[in-house]
Amino acid sequence: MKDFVDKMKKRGIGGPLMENLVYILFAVVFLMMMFLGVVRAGSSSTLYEQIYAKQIVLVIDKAEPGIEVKLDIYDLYNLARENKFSGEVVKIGNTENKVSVKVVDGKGYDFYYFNDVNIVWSLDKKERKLYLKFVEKEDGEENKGEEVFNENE
Amino acid sequence: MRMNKKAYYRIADSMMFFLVFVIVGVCIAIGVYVFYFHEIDIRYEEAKILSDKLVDVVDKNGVLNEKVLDKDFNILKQARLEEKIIDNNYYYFQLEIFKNKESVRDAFVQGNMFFETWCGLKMDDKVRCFERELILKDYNIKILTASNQLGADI
Repeated sequence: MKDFVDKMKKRGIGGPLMENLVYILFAVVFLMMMFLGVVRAGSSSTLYEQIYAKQIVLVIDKAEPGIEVKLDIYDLYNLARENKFSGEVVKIGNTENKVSVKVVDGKGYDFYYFNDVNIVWSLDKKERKLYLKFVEKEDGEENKGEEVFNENE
Repeated sequence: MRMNKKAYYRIADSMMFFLVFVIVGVCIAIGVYVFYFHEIDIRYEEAKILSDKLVDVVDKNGVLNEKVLDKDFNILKQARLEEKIIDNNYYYFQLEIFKNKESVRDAFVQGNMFFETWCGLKMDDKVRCFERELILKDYNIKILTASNQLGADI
């Protein structure tokens, strides 16, 4: 180890210059981490994911079979476009009773509903609407799994 | 004992450097958290919807739905409540039926049993509750519902 330090000193590496470089490196890494954290927290995307997931869950929980609902999700599509996210902004899992909203790359926001109905749902990307149709479950029928119809590009 | 002052000041310098980083980082993190942190709490609305669904089952145009008194009555199915979700520790409900202040059948109870106590203690940070009492001719119905589904942190 001593040999290595001596060698470095001979080459002019180490001493005050090396110390300053290490300090600057730490400062840059730290500032970058803080910047990314603030940008992530400051983005309203995650908040919108939460708001829409919970609103959709409330609609589903309150719904009765036979009802059809059309929800405006204009803001979600706008945020997804701003974040260059091309996947599905809303997903409804009938088997898990779960609503997932995602407008930015990441895990998205999941929320669960307790209403035991089959939901037939679709996203209209042109009109930026979410269509929900609630269907009565037959006796002993398991959840069908999500069923997407009429997805307009 | 002689102290190596040069080395001491070098270490003290580095320690101060990192201490400043930590202080600045913590301050920024607290500031961002206070400014941007929003939690949308719909637990009370969920408890209310759950209660509404139970009322729809027991209330038949202002009188008690007599089927509720059957021993084998499946309230989860009739109220269209998904059992696995109610039992996943986020929800609780209790429905009791009285006639002349005497219970006429076992209470319908489902979900996280702790919630009943927490509701009694008004622990709003742990659970949000909705309590209601119905009078359907000769019967008194007491319904307590609770939700604790906050969702993931942002």
